[in-house]
Amino acid sequence: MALLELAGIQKSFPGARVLSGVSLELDAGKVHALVGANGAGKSTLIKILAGAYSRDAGEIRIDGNPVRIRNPHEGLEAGIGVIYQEFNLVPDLSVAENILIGQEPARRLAGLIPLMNRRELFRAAAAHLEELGFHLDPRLPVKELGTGEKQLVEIAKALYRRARILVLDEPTAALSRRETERLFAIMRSLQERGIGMIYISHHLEEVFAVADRITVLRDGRNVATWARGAVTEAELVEAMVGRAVAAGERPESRAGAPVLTADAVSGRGFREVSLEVRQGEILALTGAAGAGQTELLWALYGAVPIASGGLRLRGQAVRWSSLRDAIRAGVLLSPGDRKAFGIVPTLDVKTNLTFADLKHWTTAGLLNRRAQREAAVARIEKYGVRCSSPEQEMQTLSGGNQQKVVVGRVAERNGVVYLFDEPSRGVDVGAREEIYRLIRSLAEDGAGVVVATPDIQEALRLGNRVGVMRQGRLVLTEPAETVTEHAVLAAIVGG
Amino acid sequence: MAGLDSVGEKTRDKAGPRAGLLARIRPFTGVIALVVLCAVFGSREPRFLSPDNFFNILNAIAIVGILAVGQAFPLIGGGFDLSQGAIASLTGAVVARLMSQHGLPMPAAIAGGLAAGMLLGYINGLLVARVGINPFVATLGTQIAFFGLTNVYTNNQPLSLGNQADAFRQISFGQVGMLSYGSVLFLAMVVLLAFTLRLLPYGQHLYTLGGNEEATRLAGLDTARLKISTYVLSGLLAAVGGLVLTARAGQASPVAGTGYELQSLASCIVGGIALGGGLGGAWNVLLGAVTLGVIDVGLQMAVNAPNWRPVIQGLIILLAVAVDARARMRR
Repeated sequence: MALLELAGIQKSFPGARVLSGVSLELDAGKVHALVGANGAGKSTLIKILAGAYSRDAGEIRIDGNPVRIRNPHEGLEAGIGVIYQEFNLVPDLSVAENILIGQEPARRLAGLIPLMNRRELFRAAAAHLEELGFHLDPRLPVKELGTGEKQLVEIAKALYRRARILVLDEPTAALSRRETERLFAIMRSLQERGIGMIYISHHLEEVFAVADRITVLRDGRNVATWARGAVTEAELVEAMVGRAVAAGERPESRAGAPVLTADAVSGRGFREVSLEVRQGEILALTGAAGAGQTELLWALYGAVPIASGGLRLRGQAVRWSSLRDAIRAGVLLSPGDRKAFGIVPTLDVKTNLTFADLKHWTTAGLLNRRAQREAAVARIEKYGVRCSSPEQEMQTLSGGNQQKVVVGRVAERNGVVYLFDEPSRGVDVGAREEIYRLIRSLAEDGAGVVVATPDIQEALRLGNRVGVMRQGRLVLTEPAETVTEHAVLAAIVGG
Repeated sequence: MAGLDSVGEKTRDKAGPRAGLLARIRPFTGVIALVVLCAVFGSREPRFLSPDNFFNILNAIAIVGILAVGQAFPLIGGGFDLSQGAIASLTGAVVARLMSQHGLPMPAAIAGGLAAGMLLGYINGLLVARVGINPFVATLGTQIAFFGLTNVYTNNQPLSLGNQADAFRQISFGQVGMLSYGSVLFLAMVVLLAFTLRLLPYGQHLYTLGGNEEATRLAGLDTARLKISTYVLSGLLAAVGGLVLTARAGQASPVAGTGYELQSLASCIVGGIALGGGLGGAWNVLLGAVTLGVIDVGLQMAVNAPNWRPVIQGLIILLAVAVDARARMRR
């Protein structure tokens, strides 16, 4: 009997079906790898297992018995421990306190007042760590640990709650090579203890190193499962590739003169990236989440520093001391995550569309509010923003319309290079097409455009050239005519 | 498409006609509350509703009101300024000493005091925007330090205004018709605030700064300079308030400004300027200051137990803020 069985798990969000029937089995003491392109449904599946999302249909069975997991507490209760990329640890507390959090041994003072039994706490944690073979000092505050060690604390914490199933979400993304090897050794020892593990990764190399079985997730369903050794890397990538973008949809390459050139730029999150953006073309950058696309765009825009390497604008070396230098030179960014970086939620649509270039409607230092409003009305029309009036509060707009406002505000400024970070994130299909049209029209008017997107299909549909980033490096750039989805996916997973 | 066009309408339909009425009068709830307060005080003490008393209230709130206008800048920009009272004390002392000990003519001494206020505000701005200290902590720290500086500067003694005292006292006591100069100054500052917020690009940038600092920065605006400017203006208005305060007392007392920063904050908040920034306008400052003044004067006239007045005052402030918070949550 399988330790964990998922049968026909389904999940929809308003306007989008994310999981349309996922089934898989995990045996005790085995590692089952889950691979798939961005948007295949891996994160949603993990959250259902953890109890963070509820499922619409399907069954989860442990040892053959159906279990209800309606909240994270019930997930743990059922024996499922999820180790996310972002850890849930209290930095100022010790390793022991983090492991036993919520289950601290207590003794009662005068039979009434519960007091934490610190001696017992450290003893229990030390014994637990020793049994697992983790070399960690239980008294050390978690903030003094490295990433790999924090991960071990998370694993120890889950196992202390008697988890028999561990879900590891991209566990090596932030680990050094040495830490990765230590994690693999620990995974092998956990296997011997009968722990079953679901291992999610973009790196096929690692998947082949640790997994007993490999399942490919695509468009919200499991499309194939193999035992290790029964599948090649090429076959895996083949299975991950979704619907092919029709040849007619592909943009043609246009080769104008280079406008913005990066020569081996490095910084936080990206390393030795060399690229050029030419006049009239769209360069679409894709890659796994956190592969460095956002950081690279911010650096090209001067919003984060470039540690080494240089930029050239129309062949002239440039250095941005602040993003205002970049804007003056005509390099503009439409940021991703519009709630954090794009919109001012409490202000109206009019202000959100115009606040970056108020000088157009300012004479002798005075703002002409009527002219500003007229310009806002024109922009609302031009970018197809659906709102009841220019005075509608920004946060009451739909995600797609908010995004059009952000994109429109940036597109209205005079630029030679436009950088778009995840321009269609959280945007409905209709709005997405309108945003694509706008981005294409900027390129047709002669600007150089860079679009960063985790969505391969989007990259293939938008880009005259497609680039792939992997662990901070640009590992592939190819013209749209010759690049295949297969090649892009292979580059993302490191094939 | 149609669904997006009518988001507001839809919620109104769902909530029924009663909620519709509430939603429609919401912008005026502050005024309605003020009218109710006046009616209550007036029913207990008819003198409360006399025109004389109206001008009396306006005069009483002039100093707090001027400081509240200053407070509006950092508040809308997403911060606040707890050092206003200390700045008012220190700049009052500077003006007094420039006149009585250095023999400067009144206009020059006033200019010196205003410049000192801007300098002190600039220090606040640097601490918040460049050093990165939380505005609460930064301006609490400077409040203590500025009060200390005032004590050092005055040697803990009230400073006299010298031979220009009579002219200087006109700043508070001079009259234009029924209005005192102090009231005129306050109303003028409210008008200037409205002008700044509505008709200068700077005003709109303050709202975006308070509403989403990171979005404002990424759009290419110098958010650090914007932030610093709000504290400079708060310091300047605190110094203007300090002038009226000194003129009213006829001397510069080192403790005169104590507590004014909290009253100016309360005025803004009761008037509807949200903590956290990005919302509110000059109208809210005026409304808040007048409401607090009405409560203060009304309680003095209508309630005979002086110790209970601050208790009632505090409860009314809490009620006002709670009503506003509930209204926000319901949206």
